[in-house]
Amino acid sequence: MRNYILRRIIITIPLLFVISIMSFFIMQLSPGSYLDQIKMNPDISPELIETMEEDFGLDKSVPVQYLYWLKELLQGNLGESFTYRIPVAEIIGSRLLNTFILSAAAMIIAWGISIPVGVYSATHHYSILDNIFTTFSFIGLSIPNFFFALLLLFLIVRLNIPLPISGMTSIMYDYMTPVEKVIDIAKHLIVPAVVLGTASTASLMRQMRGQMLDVINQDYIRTARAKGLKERKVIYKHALKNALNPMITIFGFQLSSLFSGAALTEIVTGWPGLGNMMLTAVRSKDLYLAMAGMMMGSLMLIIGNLAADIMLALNDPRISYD
Amino acid sequence: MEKFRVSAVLLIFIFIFSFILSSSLTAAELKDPWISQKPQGKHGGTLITTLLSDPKTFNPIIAAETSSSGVVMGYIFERLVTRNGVTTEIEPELAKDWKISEDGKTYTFYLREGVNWSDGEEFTADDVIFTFDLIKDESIPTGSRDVMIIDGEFPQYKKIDKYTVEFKLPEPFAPFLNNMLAPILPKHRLYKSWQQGKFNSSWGINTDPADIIGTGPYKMVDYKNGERIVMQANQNYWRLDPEGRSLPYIKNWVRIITGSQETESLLFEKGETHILGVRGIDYKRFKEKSEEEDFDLIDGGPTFSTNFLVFNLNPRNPKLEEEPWKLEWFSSIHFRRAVAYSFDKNTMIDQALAGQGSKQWSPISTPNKIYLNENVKKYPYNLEKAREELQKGGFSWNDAGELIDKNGHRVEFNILTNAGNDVREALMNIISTELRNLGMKINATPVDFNRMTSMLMSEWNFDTILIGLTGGVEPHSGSNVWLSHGHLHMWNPRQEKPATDWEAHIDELFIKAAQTHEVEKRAEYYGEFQEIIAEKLPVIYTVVPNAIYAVRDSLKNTEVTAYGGVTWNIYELYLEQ
Amino acid sequence: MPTEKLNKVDKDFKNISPRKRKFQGFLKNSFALSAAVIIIILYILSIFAPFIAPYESTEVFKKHFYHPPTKIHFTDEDGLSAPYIYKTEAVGWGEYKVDQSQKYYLNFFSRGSEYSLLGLFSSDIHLFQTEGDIPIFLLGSDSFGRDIFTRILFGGRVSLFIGFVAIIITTIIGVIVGSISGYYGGWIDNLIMRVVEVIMSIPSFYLLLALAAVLPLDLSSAFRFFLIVSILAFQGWAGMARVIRGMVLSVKQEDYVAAAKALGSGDRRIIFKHILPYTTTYIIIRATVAIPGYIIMESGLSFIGLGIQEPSASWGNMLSAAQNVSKISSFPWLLLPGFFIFITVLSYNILGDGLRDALDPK
Repeated sequence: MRNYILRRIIITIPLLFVISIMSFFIMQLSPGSYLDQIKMNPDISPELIETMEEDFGLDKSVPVQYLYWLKELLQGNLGESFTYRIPVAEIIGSRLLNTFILSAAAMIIAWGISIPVGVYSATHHYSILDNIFTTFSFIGLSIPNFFFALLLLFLIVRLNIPLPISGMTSIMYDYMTPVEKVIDIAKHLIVPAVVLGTASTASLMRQMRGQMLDVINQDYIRTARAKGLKERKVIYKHALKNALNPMITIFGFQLSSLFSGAALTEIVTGWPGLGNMMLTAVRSKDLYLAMAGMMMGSLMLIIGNLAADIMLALNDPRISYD
Repeated sequence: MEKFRVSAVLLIFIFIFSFILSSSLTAAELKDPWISQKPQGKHGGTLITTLLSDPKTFNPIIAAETSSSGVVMGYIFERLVTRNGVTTEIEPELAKDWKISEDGKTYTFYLREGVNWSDGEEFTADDVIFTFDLIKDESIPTGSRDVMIIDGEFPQYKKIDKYTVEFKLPEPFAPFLNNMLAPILPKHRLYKSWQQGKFNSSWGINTDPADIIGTGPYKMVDYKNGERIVMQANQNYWRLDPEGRSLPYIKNWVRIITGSQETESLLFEKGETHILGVRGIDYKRFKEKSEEEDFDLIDGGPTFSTNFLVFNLNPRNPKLEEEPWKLEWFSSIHFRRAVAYSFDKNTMIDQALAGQGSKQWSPISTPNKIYLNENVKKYPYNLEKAREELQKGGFSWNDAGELIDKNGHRVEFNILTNAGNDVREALMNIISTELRNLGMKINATPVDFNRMTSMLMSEWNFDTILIGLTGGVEPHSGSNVWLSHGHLHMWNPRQEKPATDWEAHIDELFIKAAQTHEVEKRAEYYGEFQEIIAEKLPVIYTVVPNAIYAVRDSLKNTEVTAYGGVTWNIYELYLEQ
Repeated sequence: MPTEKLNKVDKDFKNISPRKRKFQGFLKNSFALSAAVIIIILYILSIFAPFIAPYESTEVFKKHFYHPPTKIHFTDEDGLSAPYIYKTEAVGWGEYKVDQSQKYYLNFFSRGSEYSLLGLFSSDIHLFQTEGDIPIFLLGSDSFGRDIFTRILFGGRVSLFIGFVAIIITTIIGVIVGSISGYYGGWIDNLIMRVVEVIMSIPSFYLLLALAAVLPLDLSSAFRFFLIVSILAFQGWAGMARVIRGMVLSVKQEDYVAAAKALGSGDRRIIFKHILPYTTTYIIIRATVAIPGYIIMESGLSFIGLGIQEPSASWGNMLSAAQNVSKISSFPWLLLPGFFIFITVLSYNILGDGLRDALDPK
């Protein structure tokens, strides 16, 4: 097991390396550079722009730029943002954490709702509630989440619901006690996390229901029932445990979709996360900032997948890893 | 509103505490205060406004875009002189007065005595000299340097005494006073980092807010990336209220970073902010709301922004090898006039600006009262006249109603604009619909900003581009655009010699206007320049949005204009509890 | 985004067990059936858009922007009548007054602007038009005075087919790459699987963002459509290839494949004849679940301005043009493209669910 984890971690390094090459060249495929916006400013002379071009290393060829970037990266330096003129690491740190908080909250909502509801739906197959849940899950899957976010914000304003509609902390945050701070962030999390969690909740619910149905129809469950075990015990002790197993693989996959969804949700709800920043960085061609965002995103994804695999390995002794 | 009160109480405590701390410093005595003419207001309170995006730096000399300079200029950093938010005329700020020598070459500035930086140090001539040392330093990327250079030279400047600075110009240059709108920085804070060659990364957004020191009415207290900027009144400020207490009235100013205009509107609607720039599309809804709710809608009139269509008149256009006739069309004044007559500006205002805009006819921004010439030639929407002009230019229509030139080529060209700008995309749609009515074939496409820029500035291979520039008050700031050798002379940039008589004439007018100090005389020169552009139409102007603000009734002493917005006189605004 | 649903298919496919489907199963299938019918209707509508729509997609009525849906009258003083409408006139910004002095009847199968259908034949017959060129807006008009009904039909050509084309490309690449990888194994397999891993390890949205920023915006809308589809497919094939590889690996061990090999069949023949048929069910189900994901992705791209560009219509860019509270409250019909996205995605999801039950291979 330890060997397996170690091997997976080692594989990550060339993986990240290839991702970095790919991202760097994709980013450089589009014409123009960060400086094009500055060129349109009547106050800035062409000479000054040339100086900046040299400063940023944009006068070099793309492979040279990449090698330069890689060299710096290996020394632990993510480079400097063109737009902000400060080290990328200082911009990205808090954003990464915020995206992580949002994704985690969405995940908690998604799993917290979908598992019990899925189990209920499966054990009360085709009941009225099951049908209602099914309908909701289909609706949840069918709304583009940026649009859902906007509808929610609109409702909050119209119905005067006392929930914040933008950002992550309120103005008085710095003067709060730690407990108040947590409550404050939690309040701000509600809209983005619900938006982000909805699609996941819907699909997880469907899957949990399916898994559970499969397990309930298995022979050993019938045997357990036949043995006269209490229904509750059959469901929660035997069936649930087995139905949950395949759900763990889904966890890894889910990370990826959460991440993608998070970016759009962040943009609509003003959550100060990575996605929001990436959008502007890619658009303004702030090369090193965008690269760092890309790499951090990939890293989070790889770690998430690794965690899922390890959890699966721990949970299912049938799978061998050598 | 409950929230405001709680926060106010807390913040007042913090304020009192910090006041005790800072008053222990010995500040220089203020000799030249400025006293507010507005009714006496109440001190205290927290103003909450929004910002669309994060500042990119707090360093005002490096700041290249309004998202950065709009955060600090005038609020944290001040200049020797400023422009009045209502009249747009130049007024004293850190310089209480100035003198221009007879020959117009020597400017002497007398600084306000006893002004303190927000850390308690006194502001003196050394700071001014330091600031211009920075601007002169070629290794610092700043937009303030180029405009300072007159006849290839940076003006000489020196300290006369602790409160007097003198500038010597190589030749008379009227726009010079406008250049004094550069922000003054504290030498005692930044000299070291400049000497170490680290100025360019000084005062970036990662700086401890307490280290950012200015002379302005506010100082930075907190900045959370992507969330908000918190500013607090500078108790050393040199502007006083009628009772003699230091301004500003409002103790705290929180600016929430929203990321989208939609969120800004929602926040205001929810009652969480005091000021909102209202978009045209939201005008009707907020107008109705303002009747019942605690805010007013104020129309500041047209903004300084411009949107125009520029023709490529550049003979160096590489695409001309294949289609040389395009230059022929675009060079025809009749063709350009026909296009001008086809601009349906009423529809543009209705559809692109949701009814809240004004027509623009002249290259000087509409609200620029000092220099605007309102009597330039206008081209009201008239497709009949457009057809007449086309006929005069030798164009005709074939049986299918398609426009062809005298050599039988079908008139077909591209209009480009930068994607993501809703207003411009809408304008482009409207313009191309009308041109199609004239029988032209129009390919209208939004392109990336980067791509548009390189076509405009270095590749020169476009047909027409719909673009905009934000004008200032001083027309000379546009010299890069209007002078024939300018690199932003979009229709034919960087000419060695003016290609046409009228371009040569404009070059002359700009030089004359720069050498004259009398504002009336200058306005005359620039007036003639505006007539030439309107007559020759190398660019055709469209419409500009109006600056509409929603302002809470509790905010008093406001004087809202398109130029200054709501907060230009932030120091004398106050909140009624 | 679609990966999680795809994964659901992947998982379900391996874990499906026989279920008793009697009455309830039938009920559910009738659900799926009606979903299929809705989808087919939507496709037909958009294919025949030029005929059904009264106008061209970019035709503007500049005096009629933000016009509410036109009311069609079926009765007059004498009871039932041929359908007619009244003329409207602007009385303020985005406000219209009905002028009841004259009735304008609808003309069916009348001549209008010329169009070509499927590139096969051209015609100028439209399903309906109005007398006297009085504009009719079945579903209202947008900010330029373009007919939303017309644009929804034309926009459907983009939105409905974007997923379709994307899944075809994804499937072709995924199946070919996946089966090569699984069938030959060895270093080829290794290499392909590493590439797949790389693609799957980049957050899809960021990749999409970077790739979409590469696209020059001044392409013709058809070409841009094609490129956006390619980008979507670029990400989609990796997951597909992985699953196909797994399936090929397991089929490869089956006796009949070994028998075919022993009989001297070529590799290509074995792959196409014996191995791929085994994967068709999986592919069909996966496609049904992936298409709605692509439709939603297109709307997301439009939302951040990287999708299909104006003046071309897609449901995504029409919906993102309505992202404003004032518009939603004053001109609610602007939300209709969103409704179409919703209905389509919903129908596909229900259909996919039904198909999964019906095609259950075990």
